[in-house]
Amino acid sequence: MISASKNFHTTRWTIVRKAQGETPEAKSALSELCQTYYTPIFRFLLLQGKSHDEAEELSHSFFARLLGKNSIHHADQKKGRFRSYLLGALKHYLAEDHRNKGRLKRGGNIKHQSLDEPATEATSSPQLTDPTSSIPDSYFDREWALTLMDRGLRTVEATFTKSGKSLHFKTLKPWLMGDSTTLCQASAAVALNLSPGAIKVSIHRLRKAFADAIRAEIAQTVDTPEEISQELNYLIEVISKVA
Amino acid sequence: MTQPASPNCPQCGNPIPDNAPSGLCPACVLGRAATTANQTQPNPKSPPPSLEELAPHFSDLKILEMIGFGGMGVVYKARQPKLERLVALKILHVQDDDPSFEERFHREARVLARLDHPNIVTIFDFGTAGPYHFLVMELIDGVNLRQAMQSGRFTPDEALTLVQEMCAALKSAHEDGILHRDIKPENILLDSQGRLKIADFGIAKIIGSDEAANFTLTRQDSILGSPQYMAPEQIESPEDVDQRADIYSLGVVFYELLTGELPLGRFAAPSAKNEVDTRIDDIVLRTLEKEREARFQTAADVSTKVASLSKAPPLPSADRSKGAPARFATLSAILTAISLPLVYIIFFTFSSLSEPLASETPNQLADEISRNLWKPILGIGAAILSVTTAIIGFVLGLSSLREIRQSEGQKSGLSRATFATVTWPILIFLAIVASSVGTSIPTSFPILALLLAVSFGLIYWALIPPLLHWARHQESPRPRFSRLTIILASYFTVLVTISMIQTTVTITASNTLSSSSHIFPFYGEHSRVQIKVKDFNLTVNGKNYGQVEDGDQISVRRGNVFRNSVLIIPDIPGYEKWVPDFPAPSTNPDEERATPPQE
Repeated sequence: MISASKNFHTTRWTIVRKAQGETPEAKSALSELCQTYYTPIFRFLLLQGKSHDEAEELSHSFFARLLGKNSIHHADQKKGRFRSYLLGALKHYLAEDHRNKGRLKRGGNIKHQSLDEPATEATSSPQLTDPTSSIPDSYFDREWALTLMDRGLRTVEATFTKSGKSLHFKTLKPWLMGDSTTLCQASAAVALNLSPGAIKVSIHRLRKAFADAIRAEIAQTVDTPEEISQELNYLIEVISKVA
Repeated sequence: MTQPASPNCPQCGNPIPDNAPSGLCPACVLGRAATTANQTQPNPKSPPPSLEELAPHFSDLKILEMIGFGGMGVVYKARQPKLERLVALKILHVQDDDPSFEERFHREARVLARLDHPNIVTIFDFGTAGPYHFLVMELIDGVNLRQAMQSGRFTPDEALTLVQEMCAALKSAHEDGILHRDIKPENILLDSQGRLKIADFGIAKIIGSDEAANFTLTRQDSILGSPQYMAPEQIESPEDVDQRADIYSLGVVFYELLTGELPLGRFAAPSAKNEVDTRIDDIVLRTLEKEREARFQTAADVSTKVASLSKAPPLPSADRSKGAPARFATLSAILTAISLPLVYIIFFTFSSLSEPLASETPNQLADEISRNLWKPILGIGAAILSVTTAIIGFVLGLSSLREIRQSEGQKSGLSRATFATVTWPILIFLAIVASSVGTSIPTSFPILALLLAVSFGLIYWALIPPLLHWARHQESPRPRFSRLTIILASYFTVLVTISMIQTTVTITASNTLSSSSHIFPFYGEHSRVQIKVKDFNLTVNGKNYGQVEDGDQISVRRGNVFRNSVLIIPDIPGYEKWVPDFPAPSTNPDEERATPPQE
């Protein structure tokens, strides 16, 4: 917690926003972020009814376009999260793509629109449906949350594996969900050759490590430390709504 | 990464999305993460000193990170480069306006540094550095009990083990005269091997014993421990506490380990909340007694009691009713053992041994003694018989108790327990009665004996277990007996009591008296009493009781006659009918004495 807030000014999204995407450092930070959140974009496109190839192609060209631009000048105007920015950018890219295709078909009706401009408005109300989209934004946010969780799990798994405790991670992973009655600490204790007290210590450590990893992950995509909890709570809310 | 997901989350019951990472329920995992992360947030009102602020004051320590904080202070993980070891550095919260702190800190810390026990966090060093008062302690690589409880409820067995370790630590410290004063889950640590270590021994006293209590009572955020874990006397008069205050706090932690709740107000016994052996209830409730005199007096006592449970086979307790038959069986065994010899001795003493020998010449006496020699022999035989039966009843009760315990709640030993309690005494009573028939005691009557035995059995069954329950838990028992049982038991009890009642008749004149009466119509011929006094010669039911003198008092209890014994004289209808047959007592005994005997 302390380290998270102390090092906060160096997170990727703040670098990108401060430099408005213009410095090489900002570009590489944005590129890393985009790599991380490729999956939600791709899955969102799939959910929109695109075919696998189509979705892959679209997400590639979307990211190429996003990273190829020289600046992301809208990003510093309003406080915003990388998640919102990315979704806004994607929707505009899709709208543009749609219009371009229509224009090519019908030959005309050229209207230039910035990829970035209205992004923040569009995402300020997450349920606002895009004309090109038949599914609500919360689908994207759900995919986002799943990616986040996956990354958190991978980070923790890597840490545990590094200290030779991959079996601990595998065995105790279900306790990340809570203390459901179907889980048996005693059998886990036998499997790991630990005392019942030591199992509890290990479970607590795993949870702590995961919570830290998730927060560190979120910290990369928001502006201020206070927003970490807000973002986490928002994502929990989104994911709790059974789709 | 994505595995075939189970259809529903075992935690929240909602379906798990098929692309959920590791097949874990995302809502639960993220929700859990949100609550886990917030626990170590420092109090924004008084931020702990940063590593940079501390560093200049601790040249021989490399302070690595803050690892915790509480009411007493902030804890940092640090390295002692010289010794190549990791330690915990605790910076104490000090009230600025406390002039006695410095002296108290050094005095107490010296004492605490002497504590050396595997279940107590060792203090390596202490002192004052710049504005900071600090303790350097053993670093425990683990979690505290609060965090451990959040990682899953402890089983009763695990709780017992932890309590044993806590007792060991407290015992050692108490023997050195050191009280903890702030036992709570946050101060009880578990290292990575699951071993228990108690931290912050006596720190409450250093911080200021009186402030400690005041703060907790007056401040909602309770920066110095929480009153929930404090003994009542510690809250009322923090100066006047002893080791029993720590035992109370231990009890609160014990209760929380077993139930996940705090024992607030009129709290329920742990077995009512969780699958806990009812014998644990007794231990927990005794550590939580409001009056410290009623508590366990030492940690060693708690430990011994807990250890005895760990060794004995656990008493199944999922069903509360299991406790009752087990207690019933124990009780029946004990009561059978106590009551049988007692009843027998009373019965025999009164009925045969007290019968007076009515012989006057030595020859007659010798003759009578030889004639009556079989009586003491029978008495000894009967005594042996009663002790044997009592032992058998006791063994029967114990064996049934054992069976009830082992039957996992099936109560398969209950019938034997009932036999040991009810049927066995009846049989023995009948045996006693049968053996006493030969002694020509007119009271011998099987029906009476049967009634006695049945009433005893009913009283045990109906009244004792609920009373015992009440005595243990100080709460109203659930009625375990029907109204009919109470009525029957009362009826038999009254009958038995009345049948013991005696009356006393005073011989007031040298007359001839003849009387016959049924004391109780209910008993038929067996309650018929015929008394004759002729020439101061007393005959009751045809049996001569020798000479009586004027002024003699005789007690009559259905044919048993005691001379000059003054016993209860109740006015009961049967006697009223009979007593007037005596001449009315004279107001002047001398005058009566002067009257010569008739004939």
